[in-house]
Amino acid sequence: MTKHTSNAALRREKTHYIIGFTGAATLTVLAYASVTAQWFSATQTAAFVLVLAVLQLFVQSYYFLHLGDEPKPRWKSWSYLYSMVMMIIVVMGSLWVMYNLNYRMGMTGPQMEAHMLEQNKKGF
Amino acid sequence: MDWSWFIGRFSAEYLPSDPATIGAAIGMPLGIIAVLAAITYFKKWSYLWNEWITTVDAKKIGIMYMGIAILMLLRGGADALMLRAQTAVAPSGVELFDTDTFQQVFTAHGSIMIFFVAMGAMFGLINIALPLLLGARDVAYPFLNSVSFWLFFAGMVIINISLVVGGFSNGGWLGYPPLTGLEYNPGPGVDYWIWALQISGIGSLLSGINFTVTILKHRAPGMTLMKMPIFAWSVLVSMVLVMLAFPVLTATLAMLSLDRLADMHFFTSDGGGNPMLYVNLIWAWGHPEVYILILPAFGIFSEVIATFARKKIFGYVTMVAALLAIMFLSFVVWQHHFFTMGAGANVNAFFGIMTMIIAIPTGVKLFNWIFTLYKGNIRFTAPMIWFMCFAFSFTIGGVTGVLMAVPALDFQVHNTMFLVAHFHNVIIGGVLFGFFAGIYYWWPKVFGFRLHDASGKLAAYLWLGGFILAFMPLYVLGLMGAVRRIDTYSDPTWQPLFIVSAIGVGVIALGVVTMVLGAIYSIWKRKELADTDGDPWDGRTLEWSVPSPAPHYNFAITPQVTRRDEWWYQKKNGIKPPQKSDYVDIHLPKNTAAGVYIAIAAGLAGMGLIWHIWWLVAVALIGLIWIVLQRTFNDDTEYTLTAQQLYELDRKASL
Repeated sequence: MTKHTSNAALRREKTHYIIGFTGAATLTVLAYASVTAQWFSATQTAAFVLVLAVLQLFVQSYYFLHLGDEPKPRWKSWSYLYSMVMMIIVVMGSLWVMYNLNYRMGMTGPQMEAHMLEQNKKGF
Repeated sequence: MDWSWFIGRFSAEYLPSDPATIGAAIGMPLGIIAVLAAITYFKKWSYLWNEWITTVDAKKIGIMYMGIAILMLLRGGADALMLRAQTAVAPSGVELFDTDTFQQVFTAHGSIMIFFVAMGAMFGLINIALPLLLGARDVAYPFLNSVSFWLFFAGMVIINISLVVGGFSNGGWLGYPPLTGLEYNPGPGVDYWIWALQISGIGSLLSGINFTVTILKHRAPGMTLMKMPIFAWSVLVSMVLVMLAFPVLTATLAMLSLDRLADMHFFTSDGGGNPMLYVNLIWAWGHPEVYILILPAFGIFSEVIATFARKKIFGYVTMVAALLAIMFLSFVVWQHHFFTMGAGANVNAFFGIMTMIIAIPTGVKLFNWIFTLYKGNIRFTAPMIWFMCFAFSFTIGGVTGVLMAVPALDFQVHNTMFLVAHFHNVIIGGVLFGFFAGIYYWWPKVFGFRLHDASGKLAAYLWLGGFILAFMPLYVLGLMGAVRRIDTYSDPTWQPLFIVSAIGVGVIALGVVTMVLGAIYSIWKRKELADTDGDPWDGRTLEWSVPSPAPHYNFAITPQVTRRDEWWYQKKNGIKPPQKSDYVDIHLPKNTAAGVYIAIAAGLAGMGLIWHIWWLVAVALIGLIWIVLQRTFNDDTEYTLTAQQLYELDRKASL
């Protein structure tokens, strides 16, 4: 396929990669600088870095994995999206289940007794 | 002299000691030696090596998968007989085996039946049928297919070696820690379980990738996704689940083995670990896994019913929609396996409701099959009888499943025989019956003759009858309070029900014997049962358009697809015989032994990890990487079949 790619397409691809590389590098440097130079407070820095990470994800998916930039049927984009959704479900679901379990495991004996009494008052 | 650097932790104490295992430990190697001697005596080694072991032909790999699956069905079935014999006689004071052996037997039964029977038969049937149904020459990556099979084989060998030296895990088929942790299980048993699953699991993951790409990229020209047979759709959804779920299994088992090998604390009760996380993770794989198994069985039934009712499948679009709904929903129900672990009402309610919702697409499929049969011109052949038995059994299993989706009810029956009866109801009555229907349906396409029909029907009735006898008493016992995995009990009123259950397992064994004898009889009478025109059932899909047995290149001329059930309409509109000029040169993959070598290296690495023989692990892993690299740089992997050769082969096959 690459044999038939025209010069214009090649040039476009090159620009594509340069933009992608510049974008990815800038986002990385920004994240590094915000931590070392301490631009914000700790919480703000964490939030800032997280936002940069999400942007980084989009930049890399678009410019390097060419998602959303492929001819139909867009298998790569769809499978990427579906995997992301499933991963989020499994990770968030596990966190939800585990925190719920831990919360109830964390009670001491007397606390548990009080909790049960409270529940009994509700009628079950 | 200290040999422990060489033999790891192996010592005489790991040799079998009680009579039952000594029998197996001597019998199995003797049996293998007898088979090897027979191969040598009949000078079949080069045939075996060239035609089977090094093959990359999907159909042959499929046959080998099926062979291993049936062999393992016999072993897992023998385990089941032992378990039910023990519970039938327990209150009479007879102890057939001690508790530890009993635990190893039920662990082996569960692990073998899921990983080596159900998974093996599933990949076997997919390999045999999928490329033919899609009008493809082969799967997308024939060599990877061979690697998958041999990794599966290596896992099978490891699980069976445990019978001879070291013993098996006693932790149940999902091996919950802390029981399977270092503290309570320091021996090699759990490691056998981990590495057998780990190695075959990687094979399954590779297969999942392979079949997904095959379906997305190798369909015949004109076959859009919505023109694919339902079987292909069911495989696509199942393989997507494989790709997403199996990494979870691999990671979870890797963490458990790090706990055991490197003294880490992922799932220990102390040191910051949490055994409940293991239960959560293993079921995040385990629930999609049951859909991975059942969906291809659903696909097989869809093909069988359309063919034998002589109607197109009712509600094709709703069938696909139901599959896609299951693809999504099967990932949001896993917590229903541990409602009783202590989660709060919100968590339990969410997963309980999700579980009830997933019954809807499954019900849609069942109604679609029934409507396909409605006013159909039905032929009650063996595959149809398997479907009828399935519809009966699977519906009961589905209904008890929805019952247990109610957390309040689940608290009563969790981990009782009720649960055991439920999942056997859906796995035997659903998965296994589906695969048996597939075997009877596609057998002529692979071997060129049909299986004896009456014996197939008799086997189906024996399986169903035996199933009812074996598992309906377990539902009652579960409600009476019998927990699962007990080898003895004090309530004598349970004994009659356990005896009925043991008789039921015996009837199922008769069903297996009937199938084996039926197959032998069919081989003997293969001239009378021969499939001469390649279309013994008056089929609808493309696999029936090629001669039987299907040639190694599948289709001499790539079929053009214009609609669903292409072959049915081609037959109606008249088939044009191909002209000589229609044939073109085709490229086929060369046989290779690299897959076998990779699996041998992986198996040796596994054995090294089980017995802590570190030099073996190092040598095997280096060897593995070297073989992979060598294969990667080998460009000479294909050969050409010229149009002239293809024309002659096709003429000969069609005669």
